[in-house]
Amino acid sequence: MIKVKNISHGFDKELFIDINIDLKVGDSLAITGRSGSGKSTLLHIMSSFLKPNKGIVIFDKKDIYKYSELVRRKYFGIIFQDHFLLNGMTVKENLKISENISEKEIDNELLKELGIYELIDKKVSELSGGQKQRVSIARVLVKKPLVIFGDEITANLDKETRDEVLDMLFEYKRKNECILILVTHDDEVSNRCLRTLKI
Amino acid sequence: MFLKNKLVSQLTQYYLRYDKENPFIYLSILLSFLGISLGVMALIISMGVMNGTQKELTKKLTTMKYPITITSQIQNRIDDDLVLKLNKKFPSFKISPYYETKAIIQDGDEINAVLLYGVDFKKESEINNIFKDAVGKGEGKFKVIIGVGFSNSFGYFDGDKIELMFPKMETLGFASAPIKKRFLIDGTFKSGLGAYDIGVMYTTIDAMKRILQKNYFDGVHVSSLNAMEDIKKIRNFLNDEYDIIGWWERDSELYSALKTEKTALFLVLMIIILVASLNIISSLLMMVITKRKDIALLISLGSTKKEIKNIFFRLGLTVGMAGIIFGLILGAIGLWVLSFWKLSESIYGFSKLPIELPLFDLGLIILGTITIVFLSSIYPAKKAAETDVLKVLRND
Repeated sequence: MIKVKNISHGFDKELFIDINIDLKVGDSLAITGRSGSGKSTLLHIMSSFLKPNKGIVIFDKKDIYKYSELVRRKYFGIIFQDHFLLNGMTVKENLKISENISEKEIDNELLKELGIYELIDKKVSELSGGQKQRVSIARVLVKKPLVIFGDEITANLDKETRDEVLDMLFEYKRKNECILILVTHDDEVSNRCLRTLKI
Repeated sequence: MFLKNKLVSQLTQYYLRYDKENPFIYLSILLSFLGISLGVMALIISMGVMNGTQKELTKKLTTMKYPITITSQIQNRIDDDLVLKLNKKFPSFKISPYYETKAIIQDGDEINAVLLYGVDFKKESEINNIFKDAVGKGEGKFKVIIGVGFSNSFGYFDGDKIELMFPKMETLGFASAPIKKRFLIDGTFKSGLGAYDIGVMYTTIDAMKRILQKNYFDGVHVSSLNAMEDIKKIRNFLNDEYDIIGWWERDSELYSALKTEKTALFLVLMIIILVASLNIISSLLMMVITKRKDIALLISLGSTKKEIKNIFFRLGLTVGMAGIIFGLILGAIGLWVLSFWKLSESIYGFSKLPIELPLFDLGLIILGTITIVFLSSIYPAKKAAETDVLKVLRND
């Protein structure tokens, strides 16, 4: 479903050369490597935030740049290390942003599964780090994306919270048959993924 | 630009809320709002007072100088026939024929000259309210209406007799002397224009006809609802033997000064709005900079650049429009309060501040302000849409 063909990219010098990946529905990929090796850059290329110097990314048999920005954002969901929640809003209002963008209604069952249903009326500033990350994941999942990208999403979490977040994400992937691509330093994350790409 | 979009509405409302983390932005937006409000209020009050005083002054000028005056260089051209023809052709116009001459009043050693009009009291009352208010109930044709300035300066009052001397000679045996005639003072007018109040008098047409011994008039005064347009109709109707002149042509410098003054005031006050609108630009730019992470996140979630642009454009427009509405309310209150302001009539010529704000001027103020607000919201909105998502996310 998503295919990376001969991608090479770098800024002052090449970060990676001729990367090839082919991911199908239900796949999960961990992108690992040393700091500065270009893991996040590859993620940004795959999620169409950055055009590669060479090579193409194909999504559903078509170059991703052949799709409109709107379509790309509709099918792709990105979760960051930082939750990027709007602090002055409640959890519900933050999720409403996704609802308004994707025009897909917030699924209360999903919020229950993610363990944030009871937090819905709380201000973001009142939440713990783990809860904030769950809300930021829920905000992406509300869109029901076909490909979920995660950039060091567990880096700021303790072990227990990390496991909870990963359980939740992989369970969602299993139920909804989507693709999960995670940039990580954490072996636990890469161990859970079906495939690993080290750059 | 005005797409109905739930996301745009949600974010616009959110950014208008008080932000504890960035109180200065909120303060800056509040100042932008107040700046626009005060600018609109200043425009409303200034234009209201300016229009009111100008209208009052113009009313006095047009009454005493008459909206349209028809004269002729050729004698015998202005007679009862012409008045009849004008009345028939323009039944909606008020027409008053007149005689005009100088007259001298000798009071002991002092000699004063006045401009004396001989008018039909009924017709003159229809076009000259100041005259109408002054006319008394005196009988006979040898009666005069004098100005309040003349009355106060020379001590003549209603019911007194006054002797006028005319620049027309009469034969007395073997000699000749200027005609002298005693008139009853039948009323005193007050125009508010000093030169007229002291130097103009009115008597009857019959008195002037008798004294000047002529059957044709010196001119015709015409009053109509739209003198500036109606003067063209009269010019088309009458031939070149007649001089037809409007008060604004006779006092063209005064007229253009009044117009220029109003335009200049409007432009100067618009600059206040322009300055206030700079505050909108700086507040929105400040907000765009502090909300870069939000913008990057929104784009990563799938909102389009157009939506981002609309959020900040609508934000600027909301602040500006709220400022305009509040300014209109403040302006209306200000004008209402000023309408009770008492003035010394002897100094200003008005007993209270004249206020008038025509719909056209109000529309011009609103339209001008909306245009400035609209334009000042575009640049920050464009800048917001140009936010480099990767740069923001990487630098975080």
